[in-house]
Amino acid sequence: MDDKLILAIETSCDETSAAVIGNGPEIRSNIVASQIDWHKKFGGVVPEIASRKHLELIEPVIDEAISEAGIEYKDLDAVAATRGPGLVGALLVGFAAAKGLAYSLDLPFIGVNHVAGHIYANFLMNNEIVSPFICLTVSGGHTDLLYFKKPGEYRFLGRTRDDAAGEAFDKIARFLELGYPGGPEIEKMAKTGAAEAIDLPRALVGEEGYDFSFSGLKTAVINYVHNADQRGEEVDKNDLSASFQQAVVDSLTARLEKAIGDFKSESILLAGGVAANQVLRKEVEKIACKFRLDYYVPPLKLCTDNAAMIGAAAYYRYADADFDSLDIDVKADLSM
Amino acid sequence: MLSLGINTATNYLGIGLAEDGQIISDFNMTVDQSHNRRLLPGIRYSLDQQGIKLDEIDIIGAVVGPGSFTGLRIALATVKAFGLINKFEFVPISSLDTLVPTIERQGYYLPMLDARRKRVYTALYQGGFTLPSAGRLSYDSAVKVSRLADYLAENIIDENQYIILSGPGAVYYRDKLEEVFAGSKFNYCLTEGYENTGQGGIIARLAYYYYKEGLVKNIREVTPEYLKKPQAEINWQREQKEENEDG
Repeated sequence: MDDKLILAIETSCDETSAAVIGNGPEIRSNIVASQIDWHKKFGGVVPEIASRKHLELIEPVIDEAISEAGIEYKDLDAVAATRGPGLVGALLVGFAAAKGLAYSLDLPFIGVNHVAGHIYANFLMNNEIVSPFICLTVSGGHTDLLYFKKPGEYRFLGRTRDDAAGEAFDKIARFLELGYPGGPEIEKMAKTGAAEAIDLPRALVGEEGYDFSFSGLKTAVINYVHNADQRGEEVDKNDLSASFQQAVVDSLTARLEKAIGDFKSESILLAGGVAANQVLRKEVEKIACKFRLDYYVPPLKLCTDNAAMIGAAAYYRYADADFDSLDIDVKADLSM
Repeated sequence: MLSLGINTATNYLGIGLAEDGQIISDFNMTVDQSHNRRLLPGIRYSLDQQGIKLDEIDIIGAVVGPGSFTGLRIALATVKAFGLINKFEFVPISSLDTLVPTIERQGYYLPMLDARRKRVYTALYQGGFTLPSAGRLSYDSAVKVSRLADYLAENIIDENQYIILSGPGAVYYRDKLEEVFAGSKFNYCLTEGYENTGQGGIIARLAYYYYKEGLVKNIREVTPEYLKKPQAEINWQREQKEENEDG
């Protein structure tokens, strides 16, 4: 393929991001404006505030992505944006801007699945990943286990039946008043805690299938705190964080290991915001070693929401001339 | 000069074109919540039918509120993207200005949009002017429907003139308005149909005349006229206040 340049936009939650992706796929620029400071005091993302901030940030963020890539708008070959899953009002801002650019520049438009983006973040670091591979995607909205025969051709093995793993992190962090976003806060607390201190459940482990469940774990943590309160005992939040984190990681890796045993694969891919968790990264690496598989996980800054990963997914769509028309809509519950 | 007018503030989508203020295209439809799907194809259709290219448009006027926050953001994100590629003058237009197309005629005009929680977005205008901006007597605001007679009493000088109620809010609260005005001294009539939808052509026309009046704004700095803080912010402030009072 000649040098192709794709502008990608991501506004599915609380990061306003734009990136330029060149051949490879390779990152030419990746600008991420985080809105965390505006949502912090509410203990979570407020959709209306996220939408308002996206509209304020979208234009400067796009402009910066173009100038940092050292290109001009007329050099672009396609424009992509996250189509879902995500917050509807937030998605619409990036989607409308991307369509507006595609129309103004008379370029193809590509609406990208956010979860696919997380997976394709791995291809930005290494585009020679050996198929077939198993991918574990863990974020605030998703906990998916997928089997890829090759890039673009996959089947779902399992998903969460209730809360996503990242959602469980956020909810427990809020309950323990550790702040937002919950994942990094719990990980920080867990560092000086004992993972085996408190006995917490690992739902579905050892059962049929590859699904996940975290709502029982969440309830167990809440009950543990309430019981301690009633007995007038102090809860060691470090121990509780470490034990909770370990329970989430164990649930994830148990299902991953089962899938590896059942499906012939060459590589393991870890993706999504929770892939930034160091304990999870190490445990998955151990499994890869044990089964002698290649192991890929994006660097931390590509694990959280960013437009480069959307551009990476769009890059493969562009190669297949798989474009969308301008009357396509966003979809809050878009599935893979 | 060519102007493009866009309205995504309500369940209608309006896209219009005007040449030196004369409407040459007027594309309107009910869209429910699908502005995002219809806006660009609608703009493309309107321009193609007139043989006009987007980069030939001199002025873009878009409704910036009050109205559906999501709808407003779709139009503004689109126009902001246009602004990254093309040069044009941007004219922000109040959705209420688009609901008084007969403002040349005498009387008072009270256009309304549903603001939920039994309130309407409204502003008062005096007739006898060519442009709504000239006849405007009050800023856009959210007013309780039950307070509308008081709202008029505070703003109206000549009580003998007719009040013309228009806009989707007036149609929606028709029965309630009858109750509210029953005990008041005001004579009113309610307009139906064309006046109630915020037509694209009217906006393209207004965009041209407002541009001539110098009512332009840098598209990069434009945000919707929300008239209301996010509910989470309101709740948070209330909680803070209560905590302070308790403490």
